[in-house]
Amino acid sequence: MSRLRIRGKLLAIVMAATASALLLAGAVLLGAEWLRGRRELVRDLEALATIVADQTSASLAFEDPASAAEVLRSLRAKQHVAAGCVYRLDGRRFASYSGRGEVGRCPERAPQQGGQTSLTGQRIAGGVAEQWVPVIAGDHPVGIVFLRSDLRYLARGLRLQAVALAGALLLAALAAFLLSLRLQRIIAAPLEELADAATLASEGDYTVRVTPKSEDEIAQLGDNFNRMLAQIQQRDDALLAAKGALELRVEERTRALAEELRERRRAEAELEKKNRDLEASNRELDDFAYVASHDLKEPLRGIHNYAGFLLEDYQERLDEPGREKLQTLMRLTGRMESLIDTLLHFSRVGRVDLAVSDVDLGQVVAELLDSLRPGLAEAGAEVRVVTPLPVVRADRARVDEVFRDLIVNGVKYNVSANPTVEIGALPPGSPAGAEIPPSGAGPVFFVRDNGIGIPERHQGVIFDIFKRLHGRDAYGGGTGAGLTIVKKVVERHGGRIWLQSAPGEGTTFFFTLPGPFFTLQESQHAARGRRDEGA
Amino acid sequence: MEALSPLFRRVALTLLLVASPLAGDTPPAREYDLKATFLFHFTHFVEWPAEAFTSADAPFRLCVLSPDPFGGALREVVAGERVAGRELVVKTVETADDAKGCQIVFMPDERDSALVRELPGMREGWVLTVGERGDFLDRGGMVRFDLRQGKIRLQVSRRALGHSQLRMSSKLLAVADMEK
Repeated sequence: MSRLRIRGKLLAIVMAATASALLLAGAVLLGAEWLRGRRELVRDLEALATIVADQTSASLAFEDPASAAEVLRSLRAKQHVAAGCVYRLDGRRFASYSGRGEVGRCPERAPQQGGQTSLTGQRIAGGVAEQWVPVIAGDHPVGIVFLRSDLRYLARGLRLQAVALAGALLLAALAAFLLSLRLQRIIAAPLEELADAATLASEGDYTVRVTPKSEDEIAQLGDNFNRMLAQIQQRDDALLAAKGALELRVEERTRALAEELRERRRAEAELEKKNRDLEASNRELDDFAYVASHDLKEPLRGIHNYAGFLLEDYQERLDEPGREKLQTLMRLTGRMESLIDTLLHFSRVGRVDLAVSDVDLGQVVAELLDSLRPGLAEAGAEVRVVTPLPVVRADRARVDEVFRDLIVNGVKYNVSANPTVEIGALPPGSPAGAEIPPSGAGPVFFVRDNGIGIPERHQGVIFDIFKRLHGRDAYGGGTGAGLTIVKKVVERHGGRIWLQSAPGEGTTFFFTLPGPFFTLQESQHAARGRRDEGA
Repeated sequence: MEALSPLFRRVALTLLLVASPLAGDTPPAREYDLKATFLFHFTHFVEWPAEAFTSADAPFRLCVLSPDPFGGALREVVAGERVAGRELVVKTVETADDAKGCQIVFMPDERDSALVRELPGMREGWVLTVGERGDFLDRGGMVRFDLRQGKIRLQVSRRALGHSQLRMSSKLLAVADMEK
């Protein structure tokens, strides 16, 4: 298509130029011919009129219209003369010769000028040329000869010339056409080659080249095109090479990453397996502890009972050391039972699923303090809730146990004149002791006392089971499992627990619990809403 | 031809004024007006040899044998006219001898045609004789006015013309009927 277009354009330009030049030349030629023909015709008409005037002088002088008519008839030989007439001096018609049509009829009277007969004159208008001259006899005008030419005769002659010109034009156009077909090759062929090469190049073949055949602008264009292609080819090669290298690197990296990923997955799987194993063994341990302590409890109860029976039934037969020994046995079995109960409780915390619900800590603590009031009053201790407590997602009984143990511990290990325990929640993100919990983890709860404090070297073992820092009966005694259970409860809820303490100043326990963390007001509002719903 | 002299214009106007009243007149009156004009026009279509004149500056004489039928019309026509530089005069003559030195002699209907032979200059062939009678050409006359169907035709005698020294224009001959 594009090939046809450039060829067609060239052809159109050549043909248009040729045709317009020929047409213009033809028009000028015809115009000039028309003017020349008209001038000649008028001159001819004038000569004819003079001849006719000479030939008809005797006719007028001797009143012989017939001979005048005969002279006029000879005008038939002149095709362009449409009409010829002879008039008397007074303007009346003397003799006439008529051609065809309106143009071929002479005027009734001779041309007038200023009220009298005009002897001589010429008029070219309306497609006719008219000429009139006087007829002279001796020195005297005796009449007027009037001749009229039909200019259409000229047009007839010109029509023939126009046809000839049109023929010449056609021949010239044909010649121009053939010539332009040859000339096209000079311009169109290199352009087409260039266009074809460009098409190939655009399809990605940069090895194609054009071969300039001359020194003109098109050849220059071809040279530049070749240079450009060479550059593109060079860059394409470089790009391809770079791309290859990059692909290689990406492949290597991908392989390494895949290897890494496999490694990590293997590690994760291993970890998971270990976790599962650990969980299972923990569970087994809990189960074992439960079963063992449960089974141990029964014979222990038997031993205790039989010791009691011995003391009651054989009181008379036993001496004082014997009784004392039996009483010690009973005390030891009692203590053994207490230890086993603690162990059972601890294992239950690890074994039994949590009964999770929304728990209003404010309410929990308030009820807890109610139940603890008699003991606290006896110890002269004061427990204060220093900030509003939110609602958390937890097992109510277990959370109650956490606060109970921490409050009781704070009062128990306390030698201050006014034992004081403060309970509260720190806003999320605020520093809590030595630690700053991660943001978004929720509030950090604390239970602070002004008790005896824990030396730093003991802080690492404070949560170990049955670990007591003091004598068995100091500070009211105890099994030494309270903080261990607290830690287990917090961790089973997904929280953490830690402490800050200085001997003689007091201890602060910090811990976290899972949300939703309403504020007190919100919780009251929510509680009211629930009550409304209940009503 | 385009630049006609004022004289030509005046003459043309005169002719026009003279000719116009004639158009409506009775045939005899119009007939002799025409004949007078014809006589004058002969001076334009006929050439006379220099020997026809008595001297180089002699006038051109147009003679009419009496009785003059023109009634002054001829004199009006030729008044002030010249022929080849010579003054044109009209002369009425009684006898043939009186017509000596005349270049044109008109013989009215009343006069005998035989008189032609007695005219001076006839032998030399210097005189243009114009007549009206039917036998005028037979008697040796050269040109006759022939009245036919109200129109005046010229009749020219080939014989008389052959003997004459005059040169008659072919244009004149073209409008005339040639007789033997």
